[in-house]
Amino acid sequence: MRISNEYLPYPIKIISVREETHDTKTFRVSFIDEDLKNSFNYKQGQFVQVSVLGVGEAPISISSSPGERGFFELTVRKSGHLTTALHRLKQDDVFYVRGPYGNSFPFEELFGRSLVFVSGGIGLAPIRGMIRLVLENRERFKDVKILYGAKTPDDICFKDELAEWEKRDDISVYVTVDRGDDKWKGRVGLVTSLYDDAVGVDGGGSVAIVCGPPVMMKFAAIGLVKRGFKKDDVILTLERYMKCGIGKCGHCNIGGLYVCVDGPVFSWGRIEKFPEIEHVF
Amino acid sequence: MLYFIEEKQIPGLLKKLTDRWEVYAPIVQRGGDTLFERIDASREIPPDLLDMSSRPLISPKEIFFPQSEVMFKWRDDKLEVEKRGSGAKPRLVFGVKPCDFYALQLSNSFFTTNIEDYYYVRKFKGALFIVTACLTPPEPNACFCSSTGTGPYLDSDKVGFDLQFVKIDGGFIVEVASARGEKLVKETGEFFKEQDQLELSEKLEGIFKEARENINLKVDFETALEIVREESEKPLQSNRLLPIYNEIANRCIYCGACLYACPTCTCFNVYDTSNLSLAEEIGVTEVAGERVRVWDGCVFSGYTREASGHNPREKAYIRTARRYEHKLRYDVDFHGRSGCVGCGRCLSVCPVDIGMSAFVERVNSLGGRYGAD
Repeated sequence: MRISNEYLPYPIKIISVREETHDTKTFRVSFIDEDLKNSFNYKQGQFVQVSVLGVGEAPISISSSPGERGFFELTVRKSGHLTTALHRLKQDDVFYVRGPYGNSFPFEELFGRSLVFVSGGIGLAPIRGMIRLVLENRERFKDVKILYGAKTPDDICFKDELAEWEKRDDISVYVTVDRGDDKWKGRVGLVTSLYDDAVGVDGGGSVAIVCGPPVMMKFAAIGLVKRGFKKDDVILTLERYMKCGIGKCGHCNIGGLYVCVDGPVFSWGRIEKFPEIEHVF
Repeated sequence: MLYFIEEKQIPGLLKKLTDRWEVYAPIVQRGGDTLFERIDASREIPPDLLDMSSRPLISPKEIFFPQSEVMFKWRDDKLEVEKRGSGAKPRLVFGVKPCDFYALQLSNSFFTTNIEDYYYVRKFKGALFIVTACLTPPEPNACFCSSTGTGPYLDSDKVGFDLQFVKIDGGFIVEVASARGEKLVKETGEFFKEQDQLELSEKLEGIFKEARENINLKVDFETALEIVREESEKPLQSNRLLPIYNEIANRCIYCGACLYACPTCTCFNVYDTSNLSLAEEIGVTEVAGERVRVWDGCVFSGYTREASGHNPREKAYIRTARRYEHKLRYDVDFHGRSGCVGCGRCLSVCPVDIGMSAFVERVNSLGGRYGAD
């Protein structure tokens, strides 16, 4: 009798660390074991369970594109015990990972459609891989718009990348902050305040991909539906406290769904009625 | 096939079974509680401590899903999972109550669906259960297994099992319902007597009829399942059960006893322990630690709290709704039957008198379409 032990994590080495903001870092990593390094495949929107031995384990979404090989990236905001421990690590340090877990953003199914990405704060990380994948296959899609909001200019994640995207003439990028500062010349307001300019009224042809803090996601989704998006064309990726990643520990369940197995990607139509979503305000 | 075994033979049988099995049986503890305990072949089992009539305080889930369990250890950066030696014996649990037998099947199906849970499966695979039928309910004011269709005895027309012991004068009728059960009886033949099948089967029928009549607490479980399903489809604010959830949420003291005692609750938390801080303080060079999983429960407010501080089930009535909807609606979707087996432990252990049977009665008393008025 041989049962595989899905709970065992594997060592990965940090290739490089990039500071995104005052509290957020992107770790480029790869498995130490050559076989694992070569065989590790993931889909856009999946996550891994990250361990620092002695501190604990937490789910972190993969922020690189599945098209990138030989390494993957994890973008981590310092907020709890594990992420604080991760932030202490430097190039060549080792930590542990198992996965990937969860479903993924639809991709081929969206060919020929227009896409609107709506994200807030660190919420850009889980959809960054999808954005990069879409840009790698840009000709497959109609209009592509990226709406991004952060609390302050200092909280804007992936600044350089956003600037690169802004330079492209085949996508539109809209960035806003809740509160500006002396140097900020851009838009001020919640991410939903971009809808008038960026989204207008949709006839139901576009697909939105949304990730951000819970309150933002709820209002972003409701706003999109008001503007004509079908509920099933508003696609969100949820974050939840998780202990296993494989549908056993129970922490992430909403209704009959396990965010770690049935998600983290859901359509708004599928989850809006659950109390855990409905009662976020 | 039916056999007879004398009551005084049972300690000897259990001891004999340890040759091939890791045997567990309900044993009275020093404080008076009955708990499942591993039978040590080298020690005599005092017959008066072998308790085949009480409902054990903690269900046999703990034999496969212990309250606390080391998942793996590490020394410096090397991970080690404790091996079960190749000679490890499969587990045999003696004295499982019918309700708990159903619960074990549900938990096993949960832990083996999709990705298998390594730690559960490696303990459960090959396990055998010897069920003892309840002729009188061990907890007359809490047991309601006839309402959930999970007792007071196992019916081989309704569920697959191996062996069931049914008390009669001087011993037990042994009902063998599988080839595995038959094999066990053959291997330990010296303990079992063959008797006239017709006579034993007539006796059984009479005993079972009486056992059904002895059940004190009966609720209309099926109607409650329908109501919970229908109401759970609605937003919580218009859910007709919200006042009941609120009332329970206000009375509950969030001790979690019901979840720990529940034979089908399987939620867990995971944490690491290590000598890391000690190593930094006093310069120990070897860093060692372990990852441990422990029972957890959905009624605790910290259960869903995220590092950001966001908590999708911070409000107590949402946690209460979660608990009942999981058992009575989402478990039905998953297993095809509810996650409540009518053991009544939630009521027995609750310091403020909240229990599933009372919840079911409250739901059914809503009236309206469901006609309690």
